[in-house]
Amino acid sequence: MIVLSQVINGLILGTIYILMALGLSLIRGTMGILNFAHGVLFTLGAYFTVKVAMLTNFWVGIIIGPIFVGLVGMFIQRFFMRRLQGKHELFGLLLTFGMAYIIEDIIKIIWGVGGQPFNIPPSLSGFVNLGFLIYPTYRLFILGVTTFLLLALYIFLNKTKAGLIIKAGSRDLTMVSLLGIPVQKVFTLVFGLGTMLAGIAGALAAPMWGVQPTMGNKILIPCFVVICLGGMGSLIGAVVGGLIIGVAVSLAILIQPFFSDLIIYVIMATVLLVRPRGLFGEVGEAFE
Amino acid sequence: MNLGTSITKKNAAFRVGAVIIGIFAFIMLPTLFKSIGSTMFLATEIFIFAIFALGFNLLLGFTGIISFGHAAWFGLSSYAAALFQRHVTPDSTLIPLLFGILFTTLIGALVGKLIIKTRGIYFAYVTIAFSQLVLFIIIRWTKLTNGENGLGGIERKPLFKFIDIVPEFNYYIFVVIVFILVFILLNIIIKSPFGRVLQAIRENRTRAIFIGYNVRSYELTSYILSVFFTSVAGVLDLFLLKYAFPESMATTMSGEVIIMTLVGGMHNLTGPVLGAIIITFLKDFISSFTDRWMIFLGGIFVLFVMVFPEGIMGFFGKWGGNNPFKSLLPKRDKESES
Repeated sequence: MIVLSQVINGLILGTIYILMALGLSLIRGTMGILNFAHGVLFTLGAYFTVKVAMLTNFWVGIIIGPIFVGLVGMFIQRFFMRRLQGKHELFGLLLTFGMAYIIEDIIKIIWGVGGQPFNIPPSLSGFVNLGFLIYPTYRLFILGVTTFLLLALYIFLNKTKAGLIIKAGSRDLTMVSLLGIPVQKVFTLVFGLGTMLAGIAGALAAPMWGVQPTMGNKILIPCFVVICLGGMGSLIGAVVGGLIIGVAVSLAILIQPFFSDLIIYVIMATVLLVRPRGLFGEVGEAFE
Repeated sequence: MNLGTSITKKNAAFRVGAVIIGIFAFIMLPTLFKSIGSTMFLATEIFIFAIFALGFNLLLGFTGIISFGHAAWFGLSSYAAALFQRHVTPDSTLIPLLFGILFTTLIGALVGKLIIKTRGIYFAYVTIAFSQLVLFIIIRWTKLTNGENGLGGIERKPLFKFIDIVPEFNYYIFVVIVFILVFILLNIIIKSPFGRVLQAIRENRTRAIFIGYNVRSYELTSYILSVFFTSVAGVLDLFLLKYAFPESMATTMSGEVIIMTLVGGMHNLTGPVLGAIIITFLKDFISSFTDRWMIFLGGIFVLFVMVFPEGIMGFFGKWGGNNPFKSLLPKRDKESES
């Protein structure tokens, strides 16, 4: 029974990883850069949600918060990244690396280094009897929201014009731009979308993990490993990888808490040794 | 040809002069530092970070590979040396020092072998993850490493009977000598056929593969050499601070060494040294009145990425060429072509 409840915990942790990893993958797939600021934007999502929720209520907060994060992302893309176009990809990497430091310190300056209180509404704070298990409502709520978001994202990427442009852009950017599509606008959109996903992950995780300036640091590494495991450039890979890592981390806690942090690195080392391109990675994507 | 040689000769004479002036300046530096209210400690630290940045730059500037986790090796060598002195040879400085370097280089070689298969952004992912792994082990293995509090009680003993590095000034001179050796060694490496191949890989990896070089083994060697120089800096830092901190392997430290290289300019050896001087000074200055060093660090990142991607040496020096903004384009050493 405890194993089963840990598996469900793992799936929920996994969905948070998936939201983060999908954002990272979308940005990398389209723009070819690794967004180091993703962890900090996760934190920012939590803070925005808490602050908006304080002024209004939880539901407004959890919707408006991530949108603000997306706007911050679009701002960064529009006014900084766009100017790096045509330069080596290294500089995009370094830019987001620097941005991460700046945003983390700005959070500390505005809201202090301490934690922020965040209460979930009474309707979500109880427990649900699943028949075989009594489980916190809020965690099931996360599972529901992320499943819905993943479906929405799937439909967006496969059925809408904007989504198809994004997908095409990650395959062959030159071709897309030759078709007369304003690539830079697509970039801004993708970066906004990716960072918004990070913001949603932060907002959802906030009541579970506590809201503090460094909360995003511990999630970035597992998300890198999720992408390594799932395979660079594969959205399905991000989903499968996220669930595997989430469940693995949760089950490892049963053996020893120490092991739950270590298992991430064990998985990563195994992937590198056995299949460096990951489960669903395409040949030639990041690995020859 | 004739003209070429004479220029080289002139250059050589110029260089000898520069080196003599340089050495003199190094020795005078602490006196200068004291006069502007700074310390010998800071002067020593600058040269330690210069070694760190030089080692890091062999990978970034001369092989075209960026590691976001080099601080792990810097910190690991500190810890290795500290533990060795505490548990094995409490009366020696030299042996822990050598052990720290050897141990870290070995671990670095193993990790390098594992991660060198990946490239580009993927490499960035795994380097940062491995640095977190090292940090995680150090913090969690509290029995051995004292966790987040760090390891104290490290002592600086005379290196040999006749080389006394205990006084601050003597240690400073020792660090400067190591720095000069590292600088000369790296200069030899990048001018050697091996170094030329590394730069060929940086400029056009695919072409280097087609010419027939075993690119991956060159990259691995470059990585290991880079870890070696980094660990030299790490152990020197330990015997300066006499304390091993987990912060020395945090992501912020990895960021600092990247920014030193970026600020100075990554396509020559002077750049990282200049960057180390500027960033170490700046950090010391800014930390004296605010805790928010990170926002400045990030700001410098953004400024240099956006405005001076070739660094200061690239912007003002001959390496910049006509267009300092066209970064990472082939840059040829004019002497070597004659």
